[in-house]
Amino acid sequence: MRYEIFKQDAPNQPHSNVGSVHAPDAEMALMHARDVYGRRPNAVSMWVVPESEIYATSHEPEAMSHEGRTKNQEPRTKSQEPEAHGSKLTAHGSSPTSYAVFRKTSQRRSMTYVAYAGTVEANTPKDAVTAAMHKFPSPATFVWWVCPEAAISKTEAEAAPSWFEPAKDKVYRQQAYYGDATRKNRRQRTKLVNKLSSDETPDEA
Amino acid sequence: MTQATDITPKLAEFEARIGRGEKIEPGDWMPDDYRKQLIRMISQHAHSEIVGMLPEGNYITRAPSLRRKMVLIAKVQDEGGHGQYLYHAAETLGISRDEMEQALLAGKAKYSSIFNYPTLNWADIGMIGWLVDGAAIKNQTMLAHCSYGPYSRAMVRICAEETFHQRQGKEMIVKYAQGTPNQRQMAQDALNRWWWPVLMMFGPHDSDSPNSEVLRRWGVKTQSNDTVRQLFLDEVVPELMAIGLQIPDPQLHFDAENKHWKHGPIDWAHFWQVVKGNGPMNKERLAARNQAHDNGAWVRDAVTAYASRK
Ligand SMILES: [Fe+2]
Ligand SMILES: [Fe+2]
Repeated sequence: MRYEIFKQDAPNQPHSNVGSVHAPDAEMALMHARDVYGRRPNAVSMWVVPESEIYATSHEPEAMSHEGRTKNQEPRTKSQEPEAHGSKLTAHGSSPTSYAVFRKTSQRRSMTYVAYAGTVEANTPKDAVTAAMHKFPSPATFVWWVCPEAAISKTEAEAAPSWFEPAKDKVYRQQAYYGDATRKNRRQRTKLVNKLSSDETPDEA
Repeated sequence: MTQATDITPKLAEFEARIGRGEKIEPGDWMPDDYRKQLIRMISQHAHSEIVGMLPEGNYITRAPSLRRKMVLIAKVQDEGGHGQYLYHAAETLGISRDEMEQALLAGKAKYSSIFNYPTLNWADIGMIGWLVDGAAIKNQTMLAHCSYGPYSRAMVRICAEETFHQRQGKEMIVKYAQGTPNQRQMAQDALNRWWWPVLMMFGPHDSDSPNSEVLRRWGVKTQSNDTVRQLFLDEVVPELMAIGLQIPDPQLHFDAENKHWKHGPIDWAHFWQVVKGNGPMNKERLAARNQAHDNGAWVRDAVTAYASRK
């Protein structure tokens, strides 16, 4: 199964989509996510969500209405069973479900895609998107993702240091460790490396 | 293209979006050819990261110090991660990771020809870091501007990580070049063998590059092969000369008028031989990749069994 990965870089920043991993269950998806997307010292928490639980909008609003779910809509999804897919997403139908909302609000070059905005109550994923548009207005939102909040598996807060702290000691993974920095002592180097290692767009060469 | 009346406004809107600098995202309308070209490029790029682990992974057990060993493990692990970022980006276009993996294992997929050359000694590890990763960074920096969102994001993440790969290699070669006569000879020998294959990494000349026009028009490649090759040349030639290494190209010269380094003719016949599978290491790489995949079968079986019993 494919899981979408959301990484948080600091406690005050939103979980943002960085990519996906394949895993047989959420527990292993989290472990793969740490290895694939957490090798640098800037993760404090990760969430994983099965791809099939995510309802996404695209640039074309009509595609959303007749496809139902547009993420990776063609050609693959068509060969799967759209019935099963739809019923899974709307199974929570009768009583309102809490949906987590993610969105893309910028066209700037970035390492991350949609970022967490908050939750809405809705009966269907489609209604959740409508509710999100009202609850989280912004000058421009290019993509919405919603998923039942219950579909998210998260790293545990107590375990986070043992998951993410070791990356901080691997200073040789940072370019500042080489070249001009080789003569400085280790503490200075580590300081520099921590400063440079935030998850930002790198400078152009 | 049978429904021309239906497609034309969509194509116009698609091209207008690219013109405005918007990213095309999964699920958005895109021309079939855009999807196909991206699947081709991204999957080949992913395979290159995965196969690229082999020539260096070989040397992890033979690293000359613990520091070098930790650095090399970290680098090779990064390349594995890069492969995963890229398989993810390709999957958003409607191909599965399984299909891509099977194509690679069956020898039907292409990957960068640079990985079909042998690593003969430890100096090669430094030269690969400096020149091969350095060349890859130039190409990837260009691709970070790509109009397809998932590919662009993978490239931005990869570029941020690649810089250490290049720095550690350069550090190693600079030390060798300033070391004993034997160490200097090792650095020179590595440069002699890697120089031309590295220049070929940027692909055929613009005049022989059939896909270039459409890839440029749709914002996939924002700079041509020759332009990126020139950027690389202008950066590394003075650096290699500064440490006293001889670049194995008698026709290499500085064009004072245009302020660019100019290289001699590239042996493209050799390049196409390697692309077609007749390079020095094509068979070994494919065999090693298949062996690694087969050796990992029990792990895949075990995690699947574990998940199914929970
Ligand atoms: Fe890489
Ligand atoms: Fe690399």
